[in-house]
Amino acid sequence: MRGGWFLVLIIVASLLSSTVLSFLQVLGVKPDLVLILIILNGFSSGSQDGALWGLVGGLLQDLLSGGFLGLHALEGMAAGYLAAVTGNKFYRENAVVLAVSTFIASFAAGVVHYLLLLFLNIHVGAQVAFLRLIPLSSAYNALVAVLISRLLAGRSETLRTRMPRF
Amino acid sequence: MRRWPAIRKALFLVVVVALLLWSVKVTGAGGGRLTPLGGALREALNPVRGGMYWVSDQVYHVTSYPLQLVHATDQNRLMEEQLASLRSQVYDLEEYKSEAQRLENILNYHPVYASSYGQLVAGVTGRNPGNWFQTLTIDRGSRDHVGPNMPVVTPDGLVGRVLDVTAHTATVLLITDPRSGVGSMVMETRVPGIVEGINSGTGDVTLANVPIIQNVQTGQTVITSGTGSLFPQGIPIGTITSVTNEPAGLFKNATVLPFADLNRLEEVIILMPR
Repeated sequence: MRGGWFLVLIIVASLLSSTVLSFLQVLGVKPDLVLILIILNGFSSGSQDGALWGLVGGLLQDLLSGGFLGLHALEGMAAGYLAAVTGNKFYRENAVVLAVSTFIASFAAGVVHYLLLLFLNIHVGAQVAFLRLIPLSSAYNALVAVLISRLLAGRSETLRTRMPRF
Repeated sequence: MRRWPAIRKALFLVVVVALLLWSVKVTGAGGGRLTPLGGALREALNPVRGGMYWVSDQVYHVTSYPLQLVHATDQNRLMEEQLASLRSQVYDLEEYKSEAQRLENILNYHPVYASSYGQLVAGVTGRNPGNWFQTLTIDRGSRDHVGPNMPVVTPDGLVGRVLDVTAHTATVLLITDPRSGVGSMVMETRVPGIVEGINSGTGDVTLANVPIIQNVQTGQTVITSGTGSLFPQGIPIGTITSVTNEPAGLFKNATVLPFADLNRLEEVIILMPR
């Protein structure tokens, strides 16, 4: 069951996001655990693997949250790809670099999400999206990503070697 | 020849993106359609989600209680000493009291449109995992004759409408979701408008596109107008907290604070047409 752990983590993250994290909102925003997992996985993958696992993780989240099958998949693909590109270029063990890289990948995923909502004719105000939702959730994601990476320190290499390569 | 693999990868990417865009468009018709596989997954995970939501809610109640005490006066600080020994009992009693109050409100809820609608109480088991949409998952579904577009309320006011259902669960689209639009009017002046979700983070909604000559003021109450047939007339929505003119000068928008506390819902009432 190669990569099965990743799918299990995505399911657990999605469940946590729809329950526990709803009570940890800051200014109406909560961290996106699924996106954080996709980004952290992307940091230790090649760009192709990062994008494809981002797609798989996002697709699973789409199935779990219902409706718009493909919305999180496209967002995850972009975030996974970007995380892999930045992860391969920078020293990701540094907490600041990790936080900045996560912020950038989350921000890009947010922009993709916003554009897809426009494609679906769902209008979220640009001010709400670009001055509140995207930057706040990206900052929250960056903070949580650093915490998770510290918790997983030492195990990441094991997890990375278990991920199948596309 | 050496460029073939790169071209193949690019083509694969284009096909995948095109397929996903098509999928998003098709499943997104009507505000987000639940796929059969998605429905089965939600059914399977709902007991786990419900349990996690309940535990989170209890933890929130317990942890938020000391925070309220931070702002207490000196007198309260003295009383805290006595309170400390009784705190564990207070947690239990507060919880029972809160639950009893909610259930009493639900039992006493006899709105004017009660003759046209049956009422079904549902428990909240989860919320949308992301930040972009505002939805709830509840523990009632098609087995309980719940169907799409049924209004969802609390004794305080309008919550939203049912978006999709599985056998034992349903998704409720909150009025704060950007996909939501509710035909409404100002109760005092009968000025019509549409209450739209803006995902503001503060829980506000907007009464949009009100002609600038109409009388809309802070403090007025907004209710459903009954037009559009999804919601019966007279469900309270919220209070107008501010009014701003649009730059074009023809319309004004009013910010409305919903009566129902949409961030802390534990039970809701589904209005089922008779």
